[in-house]
Amino acid sequence: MSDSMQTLEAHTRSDYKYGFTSDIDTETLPKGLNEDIVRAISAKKGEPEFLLEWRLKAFKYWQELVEPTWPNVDYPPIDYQDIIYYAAPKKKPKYESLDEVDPELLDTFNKLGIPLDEQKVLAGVAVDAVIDSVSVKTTFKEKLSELGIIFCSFSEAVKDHPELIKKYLGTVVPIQDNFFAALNSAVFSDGSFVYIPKGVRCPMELSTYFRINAANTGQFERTLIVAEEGSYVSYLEGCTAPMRDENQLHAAVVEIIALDDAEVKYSTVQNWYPGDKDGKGGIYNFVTKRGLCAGKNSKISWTQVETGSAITWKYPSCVLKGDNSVGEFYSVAVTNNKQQADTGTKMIHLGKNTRSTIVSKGISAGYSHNSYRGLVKIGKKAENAHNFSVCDSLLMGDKCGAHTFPYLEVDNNTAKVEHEATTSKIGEDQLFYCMQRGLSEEDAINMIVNGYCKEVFNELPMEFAVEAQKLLAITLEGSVG
Amino acid sequence: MSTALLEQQSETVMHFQQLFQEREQKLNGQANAPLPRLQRLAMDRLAETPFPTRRNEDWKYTATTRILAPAYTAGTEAELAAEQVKAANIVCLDAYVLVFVNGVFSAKHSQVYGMPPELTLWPVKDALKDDRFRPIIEAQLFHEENQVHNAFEHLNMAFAEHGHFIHVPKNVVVDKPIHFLYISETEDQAIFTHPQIIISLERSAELTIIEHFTGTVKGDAPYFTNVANRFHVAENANLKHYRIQDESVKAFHVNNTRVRQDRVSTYSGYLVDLGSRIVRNNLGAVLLDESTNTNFYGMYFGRGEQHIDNQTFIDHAFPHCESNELYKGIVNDKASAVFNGKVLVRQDAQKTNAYQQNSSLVLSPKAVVDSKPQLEIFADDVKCSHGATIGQLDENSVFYLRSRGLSDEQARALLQHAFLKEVLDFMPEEKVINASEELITKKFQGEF
Repeated sequence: MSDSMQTLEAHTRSDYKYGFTSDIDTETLPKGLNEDIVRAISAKKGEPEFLLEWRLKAFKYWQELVEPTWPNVDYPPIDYQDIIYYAAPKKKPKYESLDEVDPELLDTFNKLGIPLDEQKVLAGVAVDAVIDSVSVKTTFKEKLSELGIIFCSFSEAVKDHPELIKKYLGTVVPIQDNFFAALNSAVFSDGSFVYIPKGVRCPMELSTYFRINAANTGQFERTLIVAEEGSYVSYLEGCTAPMRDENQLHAAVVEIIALDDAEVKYSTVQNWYPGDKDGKGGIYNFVTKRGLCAGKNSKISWTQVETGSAITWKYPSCVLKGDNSVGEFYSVAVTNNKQQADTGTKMIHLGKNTRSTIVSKGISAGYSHNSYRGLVKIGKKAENAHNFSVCDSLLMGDKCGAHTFPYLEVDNNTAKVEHEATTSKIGEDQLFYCMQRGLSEEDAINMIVNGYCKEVFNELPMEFAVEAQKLLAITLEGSVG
Repeated sequence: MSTALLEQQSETVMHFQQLFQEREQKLNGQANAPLPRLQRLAMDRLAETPFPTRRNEDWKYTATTRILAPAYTAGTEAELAAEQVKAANIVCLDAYVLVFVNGVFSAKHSQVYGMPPELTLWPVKDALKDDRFRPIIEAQLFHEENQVHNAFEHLNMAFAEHGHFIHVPKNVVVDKPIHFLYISETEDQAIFTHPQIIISLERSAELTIIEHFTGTVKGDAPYFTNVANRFHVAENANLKHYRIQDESVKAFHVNNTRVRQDRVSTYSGYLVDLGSRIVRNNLGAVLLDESTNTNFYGMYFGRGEQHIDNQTFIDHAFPHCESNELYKGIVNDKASAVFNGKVLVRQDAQKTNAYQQNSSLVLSPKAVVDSKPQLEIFADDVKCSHGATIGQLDENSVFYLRSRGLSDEQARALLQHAFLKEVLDFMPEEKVINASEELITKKFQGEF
């Protein structure tokens, strides 16, 4: 027992290997937040009047709010006047060839199995050298626009399609929603916009990686996805590769609208800087994500693999308004060292025959704390709604914590709601069995953990799933990976 | 808190203070006796502690405003016929019976002869005068291990006059259950009562108690039963605690029961909630040493406009402890039920086994269930699970029973009965099971 305990601890005590790169910003607004800053951001982006008004309204509302303290996470108070709210896209250090790139970083890429060309882009090797990638990008763009799909940065969308922005912005996450959503609404710098026209099935996975100017859209991102009747899109956010990012506070907002028969699949892999092993530094990832199944038979599916960030605090949610609509949430949240995660989902059933599934797997190691917090609400008119939730926690080491806070609220007598949760550690017998078959202890732990997360990884797009497995191993590194 | 709420609260507290002063003036120089001194202290604390509102996370689903709205006065003993008491009693149960009418102890209706001489069963006000017991009682009342006392507990302490203290010395097994029967009756004046039981079980002692609440509201004025119990179960001791709450559906009921357990001790709670307009139960167990066993078996059935809120808390601070929680309930008509179960496993509590299950049946379109099973775990070598289900009767089962000749009504009643029976079956005392079943049947038939 004590032996395996020690190995486990050794496994989970490793550092995040990718330090920050310092870079110089060219165009930044002064620190602090006031009405002038909000106006300046809007002016810099050349936004139409309605958006500026919207921002100001959000800012006014935000000023009245108090930062919420209910989550199960600890962090020093954030000084909102000490943040730079607008910085022009930052420049990454450019390298001439892969030989100049930090070998450790390359090592990680190899472990993740990222193709060589992609490695170059990710590591910041001068893009023009990577001809393939660029051409891929442009062919993709052409193909998408042929189908009438709009996939561009938020600022472009504001310029080119203001009517769509005006119609859908803030309809799922209104500015009054919460503290961080209001803040984001006031100061968001950029983000992504996706519009899938009626009846179109998007032929490829949309990923921010392929979007021009996608790198470093800033800390206050805003993503809006609109899927028209009968359309389908799978959207990937983030990247399995480690993100070198300097912004401490990330308060992003993601809104998804699915109309009749539309389906949206949103996958996230988040691997931001988690801080060092004493919990210094690291990203605060406070994100509001919500999807609205507005139409009949629509479906929104969230899949997330959260391994990075010092604090993850987010609840990707589904509002199941249309009859027969479906919401899904699959999550793996891994915390190590001093990381904290308070994550889960909200499934709000409003329409008839709505169904939702929640599968949440938490893994905590080191001194970390991992909480699942979820709400399943069945409204008065949601006849025959059905929810099934599982949330399992795995503890590695005796100094970490795993917590579950499920809320089930049922206002309708035809609803079926099932929730189950377990907390355990890796069984000695399982370990013994694997090792007896010739696996090293590290491989055995790795295998067991991956098996535990299988249900969620199965929901990820193919190439992501492979990478995610490896990523998990790296996060719990020491020798687990 | 909104200003309207604040105003209501301060009015309520002022009303309580006025009642308290009126009573104090009648004490005739007894104000310095131990009990009034404690009551004074509790009253001071009440003034500092606001009553919880829906803004408090733990009271999210239950508003206290309605409970506190009537202008209560302290209950006074009313004449009850012997038949009335007999009707309320549990049939054929061989037990020591303590009857309280409107919160006032009634020696006439009680039956306490033949108790083991080692056992102490005294009113708290007398026990406080005894040097052996005073420290025990004070320790029980004032410890706040990990749970801050709420305003209702202070209110209970400030007004409880007829609380009882039970002390069972080492190795004594009490032969019969002690049955606390609380009967309340109101007409036009709203009353509140403050039942209080303080139990101290010494090493290897065993005791069974039955708390039993019943009452009628003849006029418009409701009554409010505000219970606060403190149990201490020492090493290897065993406490079985039944609670049958069958108050009038116009009454209000708040129950705060705190249990502290020492090494290898067992506490089992068998909790039946059938009555009250609004009922709120806070049941908490703090495990003070290794290898304890804690069981909560709860059952509730709400009809009409009833609101039933069960809040449980188990604090695992030491290794090798086990806890089981099973709560099952049915809500029909416009009734609502809340379950909020919290299990905390601290870092040192390795090898903890903690299980929690809450199942509810929602039988009408206007009935509501809110369930919140929580686990907070800081130790890694544990087995903890919780489950919650909310659903309806299985139509296939209904069909099966109907194909055997039962009417639709009978089939549904049988299935509901069976659903609740799972909890009742954990009770070791068959007579209590029978009595509970009878009350449930009455409720099915609409006599509630």
